[in-house]
Amino acid sequence: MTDRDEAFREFFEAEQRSLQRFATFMTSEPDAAYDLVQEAFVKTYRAWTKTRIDDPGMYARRVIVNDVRDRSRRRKVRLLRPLADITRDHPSPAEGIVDSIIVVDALKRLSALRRAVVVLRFYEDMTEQQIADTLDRPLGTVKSDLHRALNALRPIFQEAGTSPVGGDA
Amino acid sequence: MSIEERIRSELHVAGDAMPERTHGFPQTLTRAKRSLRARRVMSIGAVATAAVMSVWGGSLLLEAPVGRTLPPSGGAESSFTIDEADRRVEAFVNAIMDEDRDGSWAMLTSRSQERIGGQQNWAQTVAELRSEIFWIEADATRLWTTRLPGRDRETFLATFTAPPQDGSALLEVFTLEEDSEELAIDLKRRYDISFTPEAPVFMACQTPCEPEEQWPTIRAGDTFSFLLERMQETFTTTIDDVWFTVGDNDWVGKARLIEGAKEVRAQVTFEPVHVNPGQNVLTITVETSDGSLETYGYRAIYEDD
Repeated sequence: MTDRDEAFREFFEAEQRSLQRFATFMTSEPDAAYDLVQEAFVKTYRAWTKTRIDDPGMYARRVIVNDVRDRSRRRKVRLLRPLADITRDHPSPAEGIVDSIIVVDALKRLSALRRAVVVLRFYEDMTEQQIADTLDRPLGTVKSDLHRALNALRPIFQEAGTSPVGGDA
Repeated sequence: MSIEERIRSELHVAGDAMPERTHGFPQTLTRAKRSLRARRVMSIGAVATAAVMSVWGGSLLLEAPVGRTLPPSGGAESSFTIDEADRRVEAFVNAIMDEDRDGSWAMLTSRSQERIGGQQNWAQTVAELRSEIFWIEADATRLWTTRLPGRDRETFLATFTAPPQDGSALLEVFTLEEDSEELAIDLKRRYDISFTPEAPVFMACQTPCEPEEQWPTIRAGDTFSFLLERMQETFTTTIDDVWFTVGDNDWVGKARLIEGAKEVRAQVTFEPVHVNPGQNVLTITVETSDGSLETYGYRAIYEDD
């Protein structure tokens, strides 16, 4: 195995689980996410051999977001099974909690970009600047997307009767 | 709890509850390498397309060696026209065979279809077949070929289905060779083809075309001879080649020159050609070995005009 492939292996092992989760949040469909992640690895590898990527993790996430957007445009992505159904298929200690999770369904009501901003900010704990770098979007746009996404999510929580205390966008 | 805290909390709970389904690294690496190779193939193809377009920019179609810019070595460009799908495709393929019989190029024969469904499969097939693969590309549609066992190594089977919907296509014949980790793409031949529902018939005469009743009728596939009278006066060097074009760039035939002591005759076999309205001028261009070009004009019309 070449040095390049070895470096790619390290990246793969470090990122594949988090990329899988990120993609699952983006699509709400684990099978589609599975394909998206592999495609992201393939594209990252391709770019890796062509030019040096400063942060392959960011690059792979951008690939996933772009692919989700492309698929949405082509109307090829169908949400066949919501995430909640999938988690019920695969029982885990957290299953009871998952059933009551609102944010999973709420995310689906956001655009792909705003969904990505929310997941990167609150699940991956990226700063707004890191999100801007990852999505290759201006910082101001990311701030705006985040603000609007939270505004969109707030009534969903309220509707479910679980309005957060002291909620603030 | 703020909405941000609530979202963060729920996302982590959901993330922890997600089923584990991950790819194996060897599988991913293999697919990535295949994709990289396929990408190179496509990139090189794009370069070649740009090259041939520059050749087609003028009104004269040249046999430009566009392939020479491609690694590791290139082939010559050629061109022809065909009139419809399937049977006609087979006809033109056979015509290529005839044309190139003396040129030691491949014999193409139309037979059954073997179309690759998607790019992923295509990339995989490219990688698996490696040096064995030949393929023909018609615009976005990849038409597959198989090398015929036990035949000349440059003999392979081309498989075709319906032509592209827009009526024209750039047809490219590739071979793929693998050297260690690198793939080398050899663009063997390039053809520009067009499809029309019916084979046209030409009424031709050398301009000025009078009287009309004396025009020879040229049908697709016909062979006729004509005297290039001016050539005796204009050209003193050997005549290398003759092209026939309609409109800007349709090549409709190629002449085999018969040189006599005091005159030069060109025997021409016409292929079916698609002629757009307003492009009914058949142009014959003669190139001499010193690179000079001379053009002769004919009127070409459809039989049912």
